[in-house]
Amino acid sequence: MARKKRKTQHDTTDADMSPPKRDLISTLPWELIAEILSMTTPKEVLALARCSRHFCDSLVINPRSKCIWESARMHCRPKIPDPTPNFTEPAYAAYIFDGGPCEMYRAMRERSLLGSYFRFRTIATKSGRSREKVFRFPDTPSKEEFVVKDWVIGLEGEHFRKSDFLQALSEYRRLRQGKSRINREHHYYMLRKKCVYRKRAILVLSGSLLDWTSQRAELAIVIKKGNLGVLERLALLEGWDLTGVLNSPTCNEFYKWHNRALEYVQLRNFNVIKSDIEAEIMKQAKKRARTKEEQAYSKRRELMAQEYYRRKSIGSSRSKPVILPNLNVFRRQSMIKLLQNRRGSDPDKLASSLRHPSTRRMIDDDLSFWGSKANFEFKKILGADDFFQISKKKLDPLEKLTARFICTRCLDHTSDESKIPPLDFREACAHQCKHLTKKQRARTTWSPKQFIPDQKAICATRKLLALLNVSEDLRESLQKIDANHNRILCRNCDGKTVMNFRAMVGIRLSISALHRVMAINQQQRHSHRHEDMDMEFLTPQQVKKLPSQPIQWGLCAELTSMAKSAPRKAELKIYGCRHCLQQDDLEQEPAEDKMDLDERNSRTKKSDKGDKRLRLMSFHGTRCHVLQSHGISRLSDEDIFRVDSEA
Amino acid sequence: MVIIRTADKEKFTVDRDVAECSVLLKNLLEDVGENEEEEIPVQNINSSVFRKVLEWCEHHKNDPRPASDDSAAEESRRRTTDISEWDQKFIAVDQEMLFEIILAANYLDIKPLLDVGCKTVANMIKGKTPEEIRKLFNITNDFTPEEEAQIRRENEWAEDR
Repeated sequence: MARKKRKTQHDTTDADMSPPKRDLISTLPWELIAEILSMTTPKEVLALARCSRHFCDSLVINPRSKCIWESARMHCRPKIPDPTPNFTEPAYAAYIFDGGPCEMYRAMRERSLLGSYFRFRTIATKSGRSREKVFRFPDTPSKEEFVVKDWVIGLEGEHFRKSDFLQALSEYRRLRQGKSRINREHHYYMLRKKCVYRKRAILVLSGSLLDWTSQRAELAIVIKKGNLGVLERLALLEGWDLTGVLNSPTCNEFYKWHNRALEYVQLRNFNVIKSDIEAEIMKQAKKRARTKEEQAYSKRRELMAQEYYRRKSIGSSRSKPVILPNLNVFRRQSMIKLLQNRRGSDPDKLASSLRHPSTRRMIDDDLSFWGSKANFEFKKILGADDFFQISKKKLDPLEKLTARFICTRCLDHTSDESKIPPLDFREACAHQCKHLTKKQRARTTWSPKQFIPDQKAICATRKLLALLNVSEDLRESLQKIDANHNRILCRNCDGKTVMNFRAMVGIRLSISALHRVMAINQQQRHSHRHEDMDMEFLTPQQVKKLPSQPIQWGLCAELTSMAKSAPRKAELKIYGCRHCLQQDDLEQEPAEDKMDLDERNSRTKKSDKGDKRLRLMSFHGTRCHVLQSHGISRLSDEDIFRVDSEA
Repeated sequence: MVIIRTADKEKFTVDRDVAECSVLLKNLLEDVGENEEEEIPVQNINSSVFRKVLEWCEHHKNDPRPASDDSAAEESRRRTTDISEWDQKFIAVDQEMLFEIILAANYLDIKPLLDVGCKTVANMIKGKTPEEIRKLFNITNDFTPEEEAQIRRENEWAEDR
């Protein structure tokens, strides 16, 4: 779909200067073209002549055009000297106003600097290097060279074009030897005398042109200075800033045009464009103010985000984490909103203000008020809104292990349960739906109503607590569940899937642990794998006797992530099916009860080649195998193991 | 009052002083005499352009008429590219209208208006390169690449002819 082009200042200017649909100037009668061009300088006539074949024919080839060139030449400031007869008017104009390569020096000249003879383009530069083409007249010339010098037209000072000088010298020698085509010596000298007169006229014109060039350059400087002064006065008169005036496109073009055309800025000309300039200056000033405010607002938002993350990091390091909303909700708190959205507020002052105890106290009050409201709403979700704490031994409903939530918005967005984050109360408060874009996040309002209890996790937790013989209401339950050890055996899985409490209900790993596990978004939650998870709580001795390797949490996520190394790792044939391994282990278990876990691992590796069921595959191969052999469509960490090379 | 009929058959009733800004109309009116009911046809100008020309004539009706034999004054007038403030605002039209006004002023023989138009076009051209002029007036570059390369060789035109 074609994108709509944004209208800018540049576009507006272009529209005003838009060319006509057809070439109108070429249709004007000759006398009107002559009338128009007589008001310009030869530079403009030359430019128009180079536009098209029509103008080239009319202005260069047609002899009638001579009057136009002459008139334009008279109109030029300072007045251009008349050309010598060897030049046509267009050739003369081209020579004066065009740039061209220097014959003496390799550099290109930018402006018209005229050498001693204007047939050749030269520039006077000390750093320039003489070319081989150039002949420098010797300090002690021979008689022949001395004679020829007057006849040959030089470049600059004592320099001549080598070919010209040598040709003249050889011609003179031939004459002296009687070999020249010009038999009579007198006739030859007459020809050369004419050349000397011509050279003199050319040298005079060359001098005049040099004067003209310097006068024009001086005039240009004077006019530019004068025009700037006029604009400065006019700006002062109107109370405008000169920079603003010169930055206005209309005025900038007006000023440059006058400088280019060597014309002084007139008040009446300025008055014509005054209203346009005023509008442009106003627009610029508004734009500047808007940009400044936008930058300040952006900075203030950044400061608020910093404040949020500062609070979050302080909160997470405490034993009892602070309840914080997500960043968007944090920004909507009255004090934050006031500080962030106050127009014209200096971000530097805001930074110091945020460090002020009174400001912090007010933000704390806002957050505390928000937290208490959230607390009430979430208790309502758990059906414990009338709870009142009277015993220190009893847990607040939101502190219980069974206070688990899931976001309905995330639930509606995906059918893949592994992508739905399992949340406790604190995480639910700070929850931000990951599937939303930045714009959608800004528009979507967080509400406790978007959360529902995570029934599967709650049921599994209750069953576990029943096995441990402890009530979920008691503070003791927190200590009883050893979250870090793999002692929960799932009875629903066909193999022996052993996990800890974190993996069972989906408690997020700590930040340091997250760095180790590449897939941050992948939420491990075994309780969601079965409709009604049944379990057994193993003793440490039973755990030691377990046949297979512990589950490598985050392995699937690591191999399916967007990391560059993920496809390479997935292709390695180091993965195996845990179900096959466990079935094999179960068959051999009685004979190997006392075998150490490490020994088992090494045995597994050794038997890889011999046993088909324990064969190692690539990750995708394992995925296909698990689907075909065990009917599990969504592969997870409980289904797969990796044999590391070090093992 | 005189009645002037434009090319698209629209009639304009114009004050005699205003009409006499045009040398052509002045001569025609002298031929017609005092007969106010006779329409004067202006064949080459359409109504929209003529309305614009009349606006200019109305504003400048009291200006002194340039003498036809005063060549020195005409030369000095031509040499300056200054345009009065009112004229600048008047002539700030699109290019089509600008060239139509120039042609109308030329046809009606209104020298000061023709000057304003020509000066405006001259000012538009001033300080511009061939490429900029082409873009400004939508001129097609019909030079062959060889010809253009030849033009670019600045020495070409600076050679003796």
